[in-house]
Amino acid sequence: MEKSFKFFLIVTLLLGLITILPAPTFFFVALATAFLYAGYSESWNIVGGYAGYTSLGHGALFGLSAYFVALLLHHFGTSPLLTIPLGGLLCIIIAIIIGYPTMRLRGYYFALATLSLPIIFGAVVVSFPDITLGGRGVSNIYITEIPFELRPQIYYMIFLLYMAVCASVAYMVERSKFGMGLVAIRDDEVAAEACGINTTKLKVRAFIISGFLTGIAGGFYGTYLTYISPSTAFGILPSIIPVLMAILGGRNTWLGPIIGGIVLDLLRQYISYTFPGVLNTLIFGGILIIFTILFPEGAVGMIKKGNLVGILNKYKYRRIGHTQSR
Amino acid sequence: MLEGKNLVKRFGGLTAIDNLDFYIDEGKITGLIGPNGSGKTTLFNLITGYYKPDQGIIKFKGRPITGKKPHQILKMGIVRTFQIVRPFLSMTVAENVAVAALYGRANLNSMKEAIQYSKKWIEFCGLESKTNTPARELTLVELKKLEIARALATEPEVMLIDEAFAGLNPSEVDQAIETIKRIRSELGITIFIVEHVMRAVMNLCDHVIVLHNGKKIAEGTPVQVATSPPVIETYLGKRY
Amino acid sequence: MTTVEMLIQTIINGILLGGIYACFGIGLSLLWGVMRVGNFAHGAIAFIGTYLFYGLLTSFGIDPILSMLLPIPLFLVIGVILYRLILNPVYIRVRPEDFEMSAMLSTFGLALAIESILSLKWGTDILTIPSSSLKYLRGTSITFGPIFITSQGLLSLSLAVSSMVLLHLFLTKTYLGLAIRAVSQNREMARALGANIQNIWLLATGIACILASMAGIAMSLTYAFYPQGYIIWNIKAFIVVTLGGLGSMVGMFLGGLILGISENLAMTLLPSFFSSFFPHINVLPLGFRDVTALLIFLIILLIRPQGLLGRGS
Repeated sequence: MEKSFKFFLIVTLLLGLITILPAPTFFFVALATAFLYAGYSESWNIVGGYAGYTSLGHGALFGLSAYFVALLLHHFGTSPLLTIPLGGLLCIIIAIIIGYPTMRLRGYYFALATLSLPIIFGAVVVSFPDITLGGRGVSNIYITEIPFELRPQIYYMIFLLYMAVCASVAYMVERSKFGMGLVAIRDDEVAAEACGINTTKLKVRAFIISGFLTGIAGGFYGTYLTYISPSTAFGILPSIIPVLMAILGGRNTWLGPIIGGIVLDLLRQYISYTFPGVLNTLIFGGILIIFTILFPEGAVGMIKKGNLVGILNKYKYRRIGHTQSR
Repeated sequence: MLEGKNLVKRFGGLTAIDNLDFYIDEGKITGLIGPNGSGKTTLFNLITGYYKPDQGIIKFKGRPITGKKPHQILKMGIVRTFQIVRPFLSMTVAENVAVAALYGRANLNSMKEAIQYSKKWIEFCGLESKTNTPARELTLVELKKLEIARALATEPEVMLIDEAFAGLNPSEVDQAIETIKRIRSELGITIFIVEHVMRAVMNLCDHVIVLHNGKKIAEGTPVQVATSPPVIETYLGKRY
Repeated sequence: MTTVEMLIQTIINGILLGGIYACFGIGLSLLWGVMRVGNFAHGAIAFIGTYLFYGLLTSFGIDPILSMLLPIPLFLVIGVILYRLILNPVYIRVRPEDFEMSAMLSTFGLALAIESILSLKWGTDILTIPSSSLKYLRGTSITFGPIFITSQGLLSLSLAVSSMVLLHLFLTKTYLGLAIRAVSQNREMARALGANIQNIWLLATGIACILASMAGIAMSLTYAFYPQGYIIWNIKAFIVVTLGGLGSMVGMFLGGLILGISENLAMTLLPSFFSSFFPHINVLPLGFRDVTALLIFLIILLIRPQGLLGRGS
């Protein structure tokens, strides 16, 4: 087992043990969403990082699951503990239905097509207010089994566990034959087919894994906020956040989305408390630009290569020497 | 062993393959030559499942393979290399070959086994010194060797080589000829090769098929084909 | 209003909308053709045009035509910034195979940044161009019985069409336009013939930004706007470009028309169609417009990705 993964598991265990200690509530609250997003980003990365299919529409599955859980609770009183896993399954089905036609599209067009998904889902939600409560959103989404006073600690634990599961899944995928196949698809899908890879089968499998984990995240998220609306569930944020985190942290490894996720979410929280609302978007935009241009390998790549200045220099020199026709 | 009958492939108004029959003997090295645009790579694409023929059938060892997908055809024993090399750039040489070992007919399941297994083919192609080098740092010749090593790691019975000699200097051409001869003699793989470099064709092939405008215009041993009037006319014009 | 009249009204509205969509499309298509960059900031830059137009009109009371024309040099500058700050660095530093995706992500980042700056300055409320500020451009609607065409709609359409005509003239009749077309069609050849690709790209980016601002202004004349709204227009622009195909101005216009008309038809017809099957479910027509547009998009992508009149990618 890779050293850093062992280290990660130990840290996770320690973090889990903190719940017994009388740490301030703010500690649990701050880290809870950070863990959730880290895990969500990790699950995105299976499709977007390893397979190279940059999905800009994962928020559609996230929000779908959130709404599924919320509406079943609202209309029928079904406990989220039952419906959250079902939400995950629902997302698998939707991911396959949407995946089959769209995975034929080249990377760039795939991104465009997936970008439109949250918009479509949001539009559908708004158009049928009797079923979905439309623009007002759904409130009072609670997991009643969780005692109110313990909510911060329990959600902290749930999301910590979720993050650990997602990271472990990504870690195992990365090392497996399956993961190797995904990377081959990312590098050159035609050549991958020529090596015997059933690209359709592998891609569907990736969609399934990613879809399920995303659905779980979305389902829990709704109960955590206790309120969802079309704009929070299907806005641009749930779709762009996992992408941003993976790019920040590094799309090639399991560690990237974890680092990117925790750092970015803590940053986001800090900004929300200190500055007016829209500054978030500005900073996200800036990070996206900087990291896409200067650090495409993400933070993990930076650490591996060791030297910030070295990277900048290395990229500059390519301009003079390259022989490939562009 | 590998045969096609009445093959037709059209792209819009252009007929790339026009009622073509071909037959590849087991254990032989067969060459496919012809002017640019005569349909050579299209034929490879048809055989390996990247295109579906509009008409006609292709059979491998008696079983029809028309319309199957590339990875299925690979699993049946036919592998192809690409005219413009297609390495997996983010991987090392070993990892590149390992992918083929995992998903080809060797059908290995663990990464460790696959990397171990791939060393054999890396050596065969003379790339040992670059085993752990990322593919994006290789020279063109090394990339071509990688392409071959990767194809071999799928444990094929038939290998379709698409213009492997383009861009090689004379000594590299000789080396490549040797390697291909070894593939046939040591590994017993049937080879079907598209080529422009005549020295390679004359040297390697037992049998040559000449294509022009999607039709077969000549067939035979290299010498027969080189001296046949339709071929000379195609390459050099009527006066010769 | 009879059904026929309603249909005609819907189609007319669709044509007006389609013109705006086409206007968004041409700037996007220019950059895509010349540089293979799918500019996700196109909509955001268009909105800069919208808000500047709005600001000049309302805060300073400037003549409407001047308000449209004055910011044009600014957009050349924005184009230079876009190119020098983002597009060129991406081209130089990123591996060729990653270029498209990196360009998309970085321009998306720029769009987010632009969106937040617009929000900071003008807030997140929905705004419209008050017709009083349009002064002499304000007219009454043209009516044919119950069917009407708003003067603002006509204004949008004429702005859109003139932009397209001007672009077409530029591309076909000027030397620089020829250079741009050459680079779009065969980059290597153009380079071999002596074209300075980087400069041509710079120029194309500037022009694309100007076109974006025109589209943003055209949109604002008929529609309300708010900072986060650029996304859907950006996507519609992509749809138009995909529908029309690369390299064809006529295709773009056609694509815009198809999109605009289909959207409006869907919005008018589908809710009642749906209600007749499920009478007990209340249906709001809010989302149908976008859903239709996106479905058209998906269908085209899957069936004929080179567009209706395109040369192919």
